[in-house]
Amino acid sequence: MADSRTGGAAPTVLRVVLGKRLQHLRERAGVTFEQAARSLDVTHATIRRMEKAEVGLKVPYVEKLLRTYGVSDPEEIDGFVSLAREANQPGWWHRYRDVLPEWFSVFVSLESESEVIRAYEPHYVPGLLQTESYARAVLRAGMPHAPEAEIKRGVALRMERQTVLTQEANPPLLWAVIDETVLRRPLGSPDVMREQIDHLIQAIERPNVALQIMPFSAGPHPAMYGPFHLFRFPLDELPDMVCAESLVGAVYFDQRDDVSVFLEALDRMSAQAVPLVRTRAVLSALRKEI
Amino acid sequence: MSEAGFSPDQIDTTRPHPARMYDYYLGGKDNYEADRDAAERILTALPDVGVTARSNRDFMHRAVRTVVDSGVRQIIDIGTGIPTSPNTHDVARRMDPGVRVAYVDNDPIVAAYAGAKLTNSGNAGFVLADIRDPAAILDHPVTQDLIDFDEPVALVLLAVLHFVTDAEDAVGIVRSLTERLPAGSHLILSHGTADFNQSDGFGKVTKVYNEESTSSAQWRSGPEISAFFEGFELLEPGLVQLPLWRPDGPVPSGADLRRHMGYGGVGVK
Ligand SMILES: C[S@@+](CC[C@H](N)C(=O)[O-])C[C@H]1O[C@@H](n2cnc3c(N)ncnc32)[C@H](O)[C@@H]1O
Repeated sequence: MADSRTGGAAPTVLRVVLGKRLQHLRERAGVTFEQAARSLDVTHATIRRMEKAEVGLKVPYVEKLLRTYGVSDPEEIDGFVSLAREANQPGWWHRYRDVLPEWFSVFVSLESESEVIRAYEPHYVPGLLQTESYARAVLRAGMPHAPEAEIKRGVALRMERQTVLTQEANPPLLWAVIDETVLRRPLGSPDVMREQIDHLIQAIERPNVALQIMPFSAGPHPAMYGPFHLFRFPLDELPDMVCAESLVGAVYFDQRDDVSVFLEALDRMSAQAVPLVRTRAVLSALRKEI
Repeated sequence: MSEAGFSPDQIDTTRPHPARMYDYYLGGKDNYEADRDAAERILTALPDVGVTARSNRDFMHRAVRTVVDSGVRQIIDIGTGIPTSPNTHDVARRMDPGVRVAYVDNDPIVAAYAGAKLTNSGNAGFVLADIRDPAAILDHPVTQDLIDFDEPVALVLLAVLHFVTDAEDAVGIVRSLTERLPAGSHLILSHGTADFNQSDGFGKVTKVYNEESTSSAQWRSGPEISAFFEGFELLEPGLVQLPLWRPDGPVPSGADLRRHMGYGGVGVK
């Protein structure tokens, strides 16, 4: 996971791609971590962390490494360097650094560069679909000690994240499965819940919002242990990434065998949940019960 | 709460599935370890399966454009598969945004993907049915809702009939599907074959499908595939190797061409 002490904040997806490319070039050239490290006069851990996108890519390092890996075409080097510069630009979410733990800023960066975001949420309406009052109630429940100002900032961040779904250029597809619990456990007040459900009914009209409900009646399903997200990026060479959340942080997976387990769980859940064409009817029925 | 989806025992992800194996051949990410493992063994036996899958998609693009260009505005696409961009409706709607598409597949997971990625923008629906039950497809409310059987229909059967054996009466199934289509309807069909590449890898491939995957496979010869076009007149250039059907770019030749192990054709009723 990224280390905030390096000032490296969350990697953009681009940094992840470049890290993977560096790794690929190094392996192709048959260069070990130690050899690469010697060429930069750094420790091998630094090389490892560059490849894993845990640190920013310093331009002089990148240039030297490419040469060590036998890349001599100046155009290729320039291209790589300009991508590295771009990857070091902070994302919009850096303005929220005060309320954004490191693990979550990774999450926001992945979310904002995805083509498809799949999610399983057993307890809450997914952040991208929350209303302001609902978001406030969620944040308050999760952070009972936080001063009001912090909750406010958290809500603002969440609202800003949501613009990704309505952006003009290639908004991602959000495909989420939520548990029936989400709609039944009262959060905030009945008004907050009703407003939230109305908001969902509106949101699913968008072609890029697919929300499925896993009813109690469906019985057990493969992901009952907890919430997670799967991100897919528009670049084919980038692996899908999974973020499995917990109270104090998150674990990210990008190895195919790990990711597949989550993918299979999501696929099975999507088949087991109420089919999308009936989401609207279920939401309307539940709204009446509040 | 009622109106649930599938029950867990209807969703088989323990065996490799043709839809996800095909997604893997195409370089997709919607597949699991069992699918990749089976697909890798198939690619070892017949490395050009991947090339053929691509040329099958390219054939779909050209064939669908041709058919929409000739005025057809409704499509039934059976054996849809895991969505792969551009999908049938994407290709058709680039020509006319009003084209209606009924997608059909017998796999619950394909059904889930269809809901999120194929039928989410209107004028399209999904029918969960088996191609071996033509009436279930044609009489399904979703089909009836979307398709006007008094107007020409394009029936799309791409890389699906090689999962229906002769013992199951593949020709009879296609006849039942097409006999209710009015004149002017089109049949877009592609099918795997060993005609162009007599590799002994085919035996191994068939074995993997038949013994491990959820479907059995049968590769057919040109004349056998022609029989599916009963009642249809083949458009030029007839039933040909996939890249040779109305190419819109350079065409492979010689050893390169032999890598494409499928036939494609379009007929009009
Ligand atoms: C190789 S994929 C072809 C996908 C797509 N038609 C294409 O050509 O790009 C075969 C598809 O046929 C489906 N299929 C196999 N047997 C079937 C059956 N008996 N009834 C309906 N669909 C079937 C599979 O689920 C899979 O999605």
